[in-house]
Amino acid sequence: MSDAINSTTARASSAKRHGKPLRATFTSGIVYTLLIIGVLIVVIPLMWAMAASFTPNHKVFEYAYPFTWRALLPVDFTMEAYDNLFARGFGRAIANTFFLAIATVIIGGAVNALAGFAFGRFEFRGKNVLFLTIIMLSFLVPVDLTAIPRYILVNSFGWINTWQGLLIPGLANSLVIFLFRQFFADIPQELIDAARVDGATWLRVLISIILPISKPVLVAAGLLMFISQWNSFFWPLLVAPRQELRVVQVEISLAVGQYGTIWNELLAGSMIAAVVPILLVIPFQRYYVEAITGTGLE
Amino acid sequence: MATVQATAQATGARKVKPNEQKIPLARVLGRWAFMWPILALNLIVIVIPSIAGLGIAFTEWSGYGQPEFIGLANFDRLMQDAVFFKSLSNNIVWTAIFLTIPIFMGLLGAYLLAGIKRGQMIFRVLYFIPFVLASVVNAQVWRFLLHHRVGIGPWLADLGITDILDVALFGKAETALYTVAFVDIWHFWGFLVVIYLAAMSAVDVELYEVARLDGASRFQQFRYVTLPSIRPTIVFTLLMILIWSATVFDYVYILTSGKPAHASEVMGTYLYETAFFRFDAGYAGAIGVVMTLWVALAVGGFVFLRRRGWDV
Repeated sequence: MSDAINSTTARASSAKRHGKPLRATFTSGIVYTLLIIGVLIVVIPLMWAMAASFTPNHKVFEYAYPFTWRALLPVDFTMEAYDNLFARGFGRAIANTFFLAIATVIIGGAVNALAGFAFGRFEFRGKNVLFLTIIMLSFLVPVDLTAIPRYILVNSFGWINTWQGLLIPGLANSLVIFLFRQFFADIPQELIDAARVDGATWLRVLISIILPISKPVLVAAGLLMFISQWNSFFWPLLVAPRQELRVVQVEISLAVGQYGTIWNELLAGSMIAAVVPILLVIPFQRYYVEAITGTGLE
Repeated sequence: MATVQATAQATGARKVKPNEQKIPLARVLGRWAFMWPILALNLIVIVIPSIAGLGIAFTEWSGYGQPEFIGLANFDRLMQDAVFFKSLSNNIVWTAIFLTIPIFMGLLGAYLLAGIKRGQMIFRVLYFIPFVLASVVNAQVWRFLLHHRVGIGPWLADLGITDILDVALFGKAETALYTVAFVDIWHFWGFLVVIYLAAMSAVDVELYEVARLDGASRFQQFRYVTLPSIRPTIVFTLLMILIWSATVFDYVYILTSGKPAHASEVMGTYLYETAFFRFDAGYAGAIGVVMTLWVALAVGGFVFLRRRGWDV
């Protein structure tokens, strides 16, 4: 829909361009210049950091001070930083993070989808109160505050430095429940009734009828959960400091204090951590954006 | 066709029947079966910690052993705590910064993007990238770029521009908070561009046609068509910023941890430090209560204005 509108606007502005060619070209020149400045603001810092991650550590200083263009392109290309990083067990951290994020998407996806389905399709006493309570508490009470009792609770289960401790508190995601609820509530009743009349159970309806048409919401929810787990730092740092359980973000943040600052290694770790969400967002951005705009902006 | 009608009849019949009492218990439990995993999880992750978190504010507690109820004593202590007031005022400064600069950048970016036909998608993806990167990653990139010995500063110094970026921005009391805010804005503004762009794309094109016929300039079109049309979205983002500014934690914690001498301390970092380094969970709870009050006031004010008929 937005494309249609854009093309209309575009048509209108190209019509205008025929009327006043010089001024319109000038205006669109300014527009593109400003937009490209915006891109440079985003891209140059990331490129600079990437170049440094492929540069021998002592040269990182050399090129930057005084500055030469070499700071933006890795001329003394080396994998030194990456090699050192993996020699110190960064590969383990990557594997841990992937495992955690995928487990979160699968288990969390199932749990949140079931809840979203119940909230979206069932009528039962106390449904709205329950929904509001969950949504309100998770948005109102700051995470920093709930982290204290959550930590104590998880500790009392003996889950410190365990996979359960890392995984389970990250499963319930109010935004994702919200997303599923919206989507399931919009499915036409006839579709469900037809199957129910044939005697299908709700679980069967969910699996054979709802699931196949839910691709957009599944992609969006999966993306949200994967990226937020991949990026999560505070909870893993708190609950699983043990080396074997460290995730990428914790490993990077600890590297700052632990080894002085070895810039190229620090940035190499950061680049690895950055590549995953970037690769996911480029093809799936539409779903991600629709998810965020669709939930909050009713 | 017949099936559809039959289905419609079945639906109709079901809706008329007062069937809530007639559902067998097994089916009620069946429906709840969809809920119990999330209920159990929410109980552990959200409900119990929220209530407990607010509750410990009224206790003296190290985080281990038995909490001792002390009424409002923690709040008395807060009122005399200069560090707390420093953090609170930093949160207020933070709010003021985020309610203005990123909103302006987001509106400008979205407005420029809405007007182009070529490459809109590519720009949108690029602007969005910092938002999906981890706070740890963005923080390290900028810790590097703004480091007085390796980043942008030495380059400028080499060009003769000194004393601006070739100093330890994160380490100086006057600049620490603003530098962290800068990094957070760099990460956040693309999100606003995308949100505002989506809202602007939904504006009725005819409104612009009419405005143009009336001889409205580009700026007037923006002021009298675009802005009023996307107002609900703007208000929503203002509310989100108001909430996030109360609870801001990660960029401050990673980049400065509130240093130097609490100059960049915010309530979130002060709470964390109090609970997990000084083992004063009760007092940390009191800080958390203040944060919760802030958020509740923002949301409550929003709901109140809406109920009063404000078109927000």
